[in-house]
Amino acid sequence: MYVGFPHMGNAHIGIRGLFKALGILTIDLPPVNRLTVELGAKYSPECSCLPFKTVLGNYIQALEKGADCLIMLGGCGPCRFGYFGNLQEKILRDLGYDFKMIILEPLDWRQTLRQLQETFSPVSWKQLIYASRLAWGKTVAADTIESFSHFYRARQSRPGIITGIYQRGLEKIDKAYDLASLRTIVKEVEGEMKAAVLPFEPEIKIALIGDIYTLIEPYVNYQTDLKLGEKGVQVERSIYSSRWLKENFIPWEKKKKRRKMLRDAKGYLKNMVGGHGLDTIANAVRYSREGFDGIIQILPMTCMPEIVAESILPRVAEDYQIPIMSLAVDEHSSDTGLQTRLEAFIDLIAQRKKDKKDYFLSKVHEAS
Amino acid sequence: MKTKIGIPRALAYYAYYPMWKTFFEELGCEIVLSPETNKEILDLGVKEAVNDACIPIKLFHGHVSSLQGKVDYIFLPRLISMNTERTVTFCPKFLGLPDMIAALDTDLPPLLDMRFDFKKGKKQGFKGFYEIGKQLKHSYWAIKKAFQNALHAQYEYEKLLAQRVTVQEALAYLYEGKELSKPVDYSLKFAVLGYPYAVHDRFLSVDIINQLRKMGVTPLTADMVSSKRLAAQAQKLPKDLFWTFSNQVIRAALYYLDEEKVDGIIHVTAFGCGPDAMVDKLIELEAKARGHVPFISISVDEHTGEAGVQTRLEAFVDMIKLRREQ
Ligand code: SF4
Ligand code: SF4
Repeated sequence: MYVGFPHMGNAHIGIRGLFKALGILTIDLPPVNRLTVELGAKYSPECSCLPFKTVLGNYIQALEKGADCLIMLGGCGPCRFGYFGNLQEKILRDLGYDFKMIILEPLDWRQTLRQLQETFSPVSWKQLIYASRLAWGKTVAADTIESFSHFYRARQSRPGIITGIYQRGLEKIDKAYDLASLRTIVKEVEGEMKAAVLPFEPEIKIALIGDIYTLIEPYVNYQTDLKLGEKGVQVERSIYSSRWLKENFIPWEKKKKRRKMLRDAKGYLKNMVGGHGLDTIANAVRYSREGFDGIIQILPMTCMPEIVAESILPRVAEDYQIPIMSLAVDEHSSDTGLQTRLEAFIDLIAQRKKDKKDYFLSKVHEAS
Repeated sequence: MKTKIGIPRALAYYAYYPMWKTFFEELGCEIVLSPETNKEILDLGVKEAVNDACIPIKLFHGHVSSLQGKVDYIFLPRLISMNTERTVTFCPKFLGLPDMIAALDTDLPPLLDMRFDFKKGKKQGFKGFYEIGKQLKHSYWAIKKAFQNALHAQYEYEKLLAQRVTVQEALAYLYEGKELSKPVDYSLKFAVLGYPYAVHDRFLSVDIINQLRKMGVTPLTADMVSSKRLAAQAQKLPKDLFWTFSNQVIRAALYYLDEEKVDGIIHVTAFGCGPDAMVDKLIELEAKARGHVPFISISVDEHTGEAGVQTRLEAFVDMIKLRREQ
C-alpha cells in the first residue's frame, strides 16, 4: 500500500520519516506548486479556503502517482479544517478514484492506533516509539533551522546565501536516520549561518501571524518571510508545525496554551473562534508589547476565524500604535501585487521610525 | 421609562427572536428592532465591516449601526450552542461577533454581550440570561420566570414553523397580528435550503420564497422540518458538521431527498460564506448520489439583482417541468 499525504511547509519531512521508520511506503510529492493549486481549485468548492484546495490538489497528485491510501488529520471545529478529509474523500470518490482514507482525530490515541494497525502490518510498540521519536526529532530540527533562517537572513552578507544553507540543511534532515545526527546537523547549519552574516542589527523587525497553513506553506504565502528577509527585515513567525503538534496532541499543553491565549487577547476577543483566530489576536498583542515594528497577518480568503481576527486587529493597532497589515490570499493572488504591498509596508514602517527619531532629536535640541 | 433594547434584525434574529423578545419584555423592557434590511443598511454595513467578511456579517454591522442613538442597549448574542450536541457549535463569526462589533470605531450604546450555551442543558443556558438580567437589575426569580417564558415562546414558534409556516409569516402572525394564510399546495415542491438569515432576509434573498410561489412552486425550508426528524438524518453523514445552522441545512437536504421527496433543491448561500463551501458541495454530492433530484445553488451577495435570480429560477422550474412531461 502506498500512502499519500498533503504537504505543508517542511512538515512532510517528519511525516515521511515516521512512515519510513514504520516500514510504510509513501508517495513522494514535489513541494506545493502551481499544478497543485490549480488541480485543487478546479475540484474544490469556490469558496473553500486555499488550504482546502491545496490539500485536495496534493491528494490528486498523489493518487495519480499511484497512492492507494490517503492520510489526513481530523479535528473538531469550529473551523473547516476538521471536515477537510471527510469532504475531500467524497469529492475524490465522485471523481472516480479508489483508495482508502484514514482520518486521524487528534486526542483520540486509541482510535488512531487501531486505524493504523488495521491498515498496515502490525507494528510493535518499540517500533512505533522509535518512529515517533525520529519523526518528532526531524520536525523540530526542520523548524529550528527555519527559525534560524528568519533571524540570519536579515543579516546575510550576500543575497540568497542563508536560503542556500537552509535548503541544504533540510535535505540533510530528510536523510538523517538517528537523533544524534539530527542534533549535529542543526549545530552545523547554525554555524554556517553565523559565518555568513555581517555584524549589524536589522533596523526593522516584523512578526507574521495568521492561519497556520498559510503561514507555514511558502508557496501559498508567496514566500513572504523570504521576501522580507532579503530586504533586511528580521522576521518572526508565530507558529511552527512542531509547536502545533505539541499543542494539539498533548491535552495539558492544549489547555495551557488556550489559557495563555485568552489571557493575551483579553479586552479584544473573549472566546475561541476556531482555527488560529484567537492566537492571531493574542500574538498581535504579544508582539506589540515585545516591541516589534510591524505585524503582518496572512489569511486565506473566506477563512472565518481569521476574518474575525482581521476585524479586531485595527483596535490592537490603534491601542499599541503599531502598523498591522492583513494579507488575504487565494489562488488568484499575484506575486507582484504582494511584493508591492510588502514594500509599501516596509517603507511605511521605516518612515514612522524616522519621524519618531526626528521628533526625538528635535526635542533634544530644544532642551539643550 | 422603559429600558430600550435594540435588536439587530439579522443573523440569529430569524431563528431565535421569539425567545429574545419574550425574555426582555417579561423584564419590562421595550424592544426596538432595526428595520428590515434595505439598501441603506447594506451600505452602512459594507462601510463598517472588513472587506473580507461575508455579506450576512456586513448586514449585521449595518443593522447595529442603524440602532445607534435610538436605544439604551444593543443586544449582541454570542451563540455558542443551542442544543446538547457535544461537537456542534456555530460559525466562528458568530462566536466572535460581539468582539467584532466592540472593535468598531463608532460610538455605540452599551452592548449586552450574552453567551448562549445550552451544551450542558438548560441550567447552563440560564447562566447567560441571568447575567443579562442582573445587568439590567432584576431579581433572580424575575429572570428565571422570564427565561421559562422565553423558552416556551421559542417552543411555540418552532411548532408553528413545523406546520409549514414560513419564518416571515410566523413572525408577522405572532407579533404584528397578521392572519396566517392558508398554505397553497402547488404541484411542484422545492426544498429551499440555506441559513435562516440568507433565505428569510427578503432583501438579501431577493424574496426567493415569494418568487417561487409566483411561479407555482411550494417552497419548503429547513426550519419546517422538526428537530426530531432532522436528528434522524444525522447518521447518514460520516461526521456531523460543526455548525448548528449548517447541520440543519444538510440534514434537511437529506430529509427532503429521502423522506419527503421534493422535485428540486435550491441552496441559497451567501457569497464568501465559509461553512457553505462545505455544505453546498455536500448537498450537491448527496443529490447526485441519489440521482433523481435536480439541484441548483444560488449565491447571493451585495450585487445580486432580483432579475438575475428570477431568470435562474425560471430556467430551473422550466427544466423540471419539462422533465416531468417526458
Ligand atoms: S483556519 Fe481558515 S484557512 Fe484554515 S482550515 Fe480553517 S477556515 Fe480554512
Ligand atoms: S455561516 Fe457563513 S454566512 Fe453565516 S456568518 Fe458564517 S461565514 Fe457568514
